[in-house]
Amino acid sequence: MTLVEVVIALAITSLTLAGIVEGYIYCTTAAVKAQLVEAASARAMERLEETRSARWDTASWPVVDQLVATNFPDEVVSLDMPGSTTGGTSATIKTTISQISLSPPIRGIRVDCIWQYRGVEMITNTIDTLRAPDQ
Amino acid sequence: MRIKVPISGSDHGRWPRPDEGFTLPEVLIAMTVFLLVIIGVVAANLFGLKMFQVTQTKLNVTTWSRETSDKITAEVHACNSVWVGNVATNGVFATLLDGEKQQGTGLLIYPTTNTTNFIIYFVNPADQTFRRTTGQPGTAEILADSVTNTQVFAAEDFSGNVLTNNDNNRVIHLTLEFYQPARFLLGADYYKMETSMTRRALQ
Repeated sequence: MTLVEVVIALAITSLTLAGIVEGYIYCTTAAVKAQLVEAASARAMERLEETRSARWDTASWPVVDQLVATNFPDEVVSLDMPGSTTGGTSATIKTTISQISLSPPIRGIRVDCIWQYRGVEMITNTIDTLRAPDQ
Repeated sequence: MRIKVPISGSDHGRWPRPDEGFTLPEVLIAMTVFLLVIIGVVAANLFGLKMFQVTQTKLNVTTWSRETSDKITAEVHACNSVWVGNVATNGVFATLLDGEKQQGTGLLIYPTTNTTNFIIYFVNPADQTFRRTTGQPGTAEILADSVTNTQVFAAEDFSGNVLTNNDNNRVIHLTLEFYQPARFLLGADYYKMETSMTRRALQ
């Protein structure tokens, strides 16, 4: 076995080990990302539930209408705890309320949870729903 | 006169041994290279073990979060009434009254008007577990452990302000904070889950 053969064998072994280690790191990174996606989805759902609880009573007089965009301004929230391994990722919750139909009265609610993964990749979790006035 | 006497067990009749072999430096270099390869493989395995534990914890928490929040959300959406309160050490659930800050360790859900049929979610600070139980005996289950906060449930208005009354349009807010202490090869880790849910059948 010559020196060249030994060096080539070592290079192949090193490449293999580097590939295995890279695979492990990718798995962990993917798990962290999945965790943050889950947290972002939960925060978007949280805002959606808040819009569901806002009073929109067209049968009363005067009409009560809390389901308006000014009641749901943009909000910066934390997706994780500061000091955790993800470093405390924050997200911006944006709410869009649009009138879909006047008769019957139906409004569309769209919630976007926008966050940045590792300071590079912008990710948006979006939830859409329709809502009628309180019965 | 000299006679050569054959001796049993001698090399007579075998192939002659080669006069070449490995030198000491060759053996030492081969052993060093082999050692380096072994160290690399062992280090990669240890690193993989650590990464596996990190990934396993995170995936478990993610899975649990999804399953639990989906279940609570579905139950609150469909329930007849829901109450925030505290679970005493004797296991009695006490609902918060009007005028009190609607924030506590437990959540009482009545799926129907039948008050003997209920579901309670609560945190047990003694062992830091998050539990679910129902009116049926033997249905208590631990949903999660390592929960560090106690005031996990709150009733809020649509702006996120904690209420002081049992408003019909309230949002039930759930906050769970987990702490995973340091273990072999792993540092401590934190995780927080927050979500909200509103009863659909408003009366």
